[in-house]
Amino acid sequence: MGSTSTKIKLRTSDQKVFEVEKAVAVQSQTIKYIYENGCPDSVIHVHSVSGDILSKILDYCKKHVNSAAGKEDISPEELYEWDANFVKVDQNTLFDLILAANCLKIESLLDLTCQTVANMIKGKRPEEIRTTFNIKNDYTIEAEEAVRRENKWAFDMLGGVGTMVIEELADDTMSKCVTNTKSRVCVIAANQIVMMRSISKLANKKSIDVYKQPQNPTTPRIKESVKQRNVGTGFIELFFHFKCKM
Amino acid sequence: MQRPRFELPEALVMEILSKLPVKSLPRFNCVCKYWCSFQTPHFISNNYHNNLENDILNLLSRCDGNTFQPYFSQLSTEKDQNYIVKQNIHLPFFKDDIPSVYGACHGLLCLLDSSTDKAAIWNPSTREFKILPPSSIQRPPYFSPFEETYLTLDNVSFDNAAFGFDSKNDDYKVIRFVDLTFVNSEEEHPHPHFMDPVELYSLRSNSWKEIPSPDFTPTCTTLGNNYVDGICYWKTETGAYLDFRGLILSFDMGNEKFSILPIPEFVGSFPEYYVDLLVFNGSLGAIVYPSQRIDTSFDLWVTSEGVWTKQFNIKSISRVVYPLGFGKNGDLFLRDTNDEVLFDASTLEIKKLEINTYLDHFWFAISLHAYLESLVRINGIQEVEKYVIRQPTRNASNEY
Repeated sequence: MGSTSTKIKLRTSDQKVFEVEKAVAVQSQTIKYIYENGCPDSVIHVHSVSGDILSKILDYCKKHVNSAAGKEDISPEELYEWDANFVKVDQNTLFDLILAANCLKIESLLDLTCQTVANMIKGKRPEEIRTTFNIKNDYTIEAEEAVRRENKWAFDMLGGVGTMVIEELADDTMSKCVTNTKSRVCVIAANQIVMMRSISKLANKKSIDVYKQPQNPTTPRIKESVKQRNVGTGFIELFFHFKCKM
Repeated sequence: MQRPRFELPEALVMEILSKLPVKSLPRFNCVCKYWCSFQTPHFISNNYHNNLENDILNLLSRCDGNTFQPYFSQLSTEKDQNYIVKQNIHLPFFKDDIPSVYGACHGLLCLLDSSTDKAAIWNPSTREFKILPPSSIQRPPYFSPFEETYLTLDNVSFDNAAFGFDSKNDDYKVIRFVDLTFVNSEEEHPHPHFMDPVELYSLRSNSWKEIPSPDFTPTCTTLGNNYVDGICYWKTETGAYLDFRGLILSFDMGNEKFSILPIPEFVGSFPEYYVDLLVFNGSLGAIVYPSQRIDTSFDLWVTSEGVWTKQFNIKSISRVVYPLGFGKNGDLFLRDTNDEVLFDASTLEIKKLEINTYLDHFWFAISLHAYLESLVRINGIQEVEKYVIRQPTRNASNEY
């Protein structure tokens, strides 16, 4: 009976018991430590991890152990893809995985899950960050304004808040804004709202003709063409070209 | 994004934030008060290491042909966009003279004026700019016993320097060679006398101090960064024309000592070859190319512990005047008679880059400087228009 077929029993917070191969279980430094310093036959309690989460984590550990040991014929690119699919879960599960990977001390899984969340929040605004992490804003309005002003350039780089002001609708005016694909674009000209368009409707279109909603129904319609260009994950650059059509 | 059922502990939130690229982080200062202070040295170091795989950013140092003002062009990281210019960064702080650029070290660059003692340390990612105090070198009256008179100080220049990190003392330092020229102003054709003091700046103490000068002074600039792994390097030389030997002068930032390393003859020797020092993949190396320009091929050598090995050779590129430095994956940036070009290491072809420097002033002084983004703090101020002005180009895209 070789040590590679030794099994370890794990009991989760919701009293589920998992029997796993030692090689898979000891991917967790915590489990490894408890196993090596305790009774090898007894059940190891993983109090802070639920059955569902542990099941997913064991899938991860098994995949990585098998690929490293050559038991599974999987290239590094395929493993990378597998990992990418592994973290395509809802946010609550992702956070549960982070906590569990931290508590079980599985470094590669902690790196993977943290990097996934980092990629999710990269382009977000502070308000969205607070929602994601359930953080209370303890700044006063003045203090927050001051901090924003200090780092103004970092906000400017994010592109327009989805609002663009065009001073006048002259012929052949070309205006540009960068916005993320989840915004609504609100184009304001001379204090009138010219166009409001949800960007998601613009997705995948190279150019769109939109018509100004005139305040006065007898005013001739103005045709605008909107060209878009993908400039990076989740961001598009919109070129508004205004022409008067009589 | 949904509100989670619980909060992640702060340590894990910091773990996530340390994996973010530098440009995302200044915005997060206004999430809450604690997040304004999370950038501890440990966090900054973690973040730097997590981002080491990211793109290297390139700044081309050049001088406007119309206004004669120096500026940087920041190149795109996209090879398939031919590294177009994304923004131009003007430096009114250095009027009229192209500053010498040293580093990068941990994402920081050191900018020095060669004719005045204007100097600054700059973090282009966090936009922090720190002006260094004036030179500490005393310029006492110089008595020449030969001419039996006091000489006047005719010229001061700061032509060679280096910027690096002293890991023993966790300090960033700048070493600067000062050239003082004294003449007898009474004479019609005075014989110049030289003094070559050396001074060292420490960011921790924010002050310069004079240090003993070595027997050799640097003679030419390095391609890009001349600091690696705690030590700075310069080319120097000894001997007259026929006995000429190229040498490397090194300075250890930690123990503040100079040494000399020879350059073996088989690497290349003047006057047949130019040996341009540079840092390549974390080691000191040199690009060696014939000075005759009939058949300009480039050899890249790397040295480690006194042993020199040739890494590779790039054959016969015509019209190329001089190399600028390496980009990712062994691509080599070069200067030809009109503009900057790129030798693509994967296709072995020369590609024109549309940087359009043919109208630049001092085009032969154009240099390329690479840096990685970092959050390292330098006790400076945020960029102000008096010192740094950024101008995105028309085809630049905004990025988060």
